[in-house]
Amino acid sequence: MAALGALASAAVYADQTASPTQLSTELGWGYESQTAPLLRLSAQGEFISIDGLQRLHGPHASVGVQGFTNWTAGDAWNVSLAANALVKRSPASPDFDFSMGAFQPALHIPIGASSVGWGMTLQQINVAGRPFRESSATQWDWTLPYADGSHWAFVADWGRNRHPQELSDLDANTLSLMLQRHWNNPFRALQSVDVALFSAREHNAHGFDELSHRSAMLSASMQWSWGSTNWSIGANWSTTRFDASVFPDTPERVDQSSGVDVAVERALTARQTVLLEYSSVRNHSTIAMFDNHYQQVALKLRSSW
Amino acid sequence: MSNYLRIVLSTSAALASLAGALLFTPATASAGNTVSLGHGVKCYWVLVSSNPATGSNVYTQVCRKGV
Repeated sequence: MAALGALASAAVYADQTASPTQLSTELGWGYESQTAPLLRLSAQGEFISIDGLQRLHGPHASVGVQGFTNWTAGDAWNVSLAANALVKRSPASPDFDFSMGAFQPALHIPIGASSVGWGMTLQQINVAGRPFRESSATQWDWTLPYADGSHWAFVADWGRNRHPQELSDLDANTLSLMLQRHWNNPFRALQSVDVALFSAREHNAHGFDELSHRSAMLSASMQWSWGSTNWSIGANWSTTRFDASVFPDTPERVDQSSGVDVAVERALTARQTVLLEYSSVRNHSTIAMFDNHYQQVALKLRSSW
Repeated sequence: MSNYLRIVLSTSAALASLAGALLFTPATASAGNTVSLGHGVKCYWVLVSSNPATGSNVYTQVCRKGV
């Protein structure tokens, strides 16, 4: 039931007491599209805007796996290990090829009614068939749960992103803060509601101020059941302010982004569910070249083992 | 100007998805017990219940989007 009931951005892993180790897999098929202004670099090195849009689109297939285990060490320390990997291939648009792997060890201790944790995240990301980013981060979290399954969660994350030589300009140090409120069964018709505030600072490691930025995001989602299906809808809004203009004669770059996610899930068996989801994010920037609209629809088969 | 921006602009179609992974907040819906960990999604496991007597723990996965 935990798998069926968790259609929001905060997925409740509620069967830990029965099975401290869980493994799940995901097979997906979908279609994604990204549009952006059409631009060209002239022979003189100037950027020229051309009427129309460039559109990158195509079908894809993906395979994902996620594992989680935990155990108690001593009287109060709780150790957890999480790992996940995802490979997405888009033969018609290889630029959409994406793969990642992540490993997350963590240590938690209950303090009164709350808990405090420390963990690490090590992640490798490949984009368009090439190594793109290695990131390492450490996190502190604080969680205050309630008897009805609701909770507050706060996560502070410090990290560094490193890239291959040709993209090393993107190397950055990051700091993010997130506060999330999860309501369990807030109303008769709703299974849960989540609201999260997120703030981040990314500072370019090589002093490129046009790549350093501050961002803030608000997201909200809710989930409910209807017949034998579970539904969720979520929305998010963010603003990102860069430290410097991209070009000397352009305005300060500020991006405003808004997105929506809709998903419906149905159980096939006790261990398998099928999920249909749609996502859309539209980004508006004071620099037109960064305007962007991303959409994805995907059908996924999830299995727990 | 950073080489990155020149790369994106000179081969803009080819690296549009890469730019999306970096500078925007592409959506990847998170749903179910396994979160779709794709562009811009990061998840953490937090402890919401612990019983030392039985050694049983309940964890919740908290995810966020963003660069």
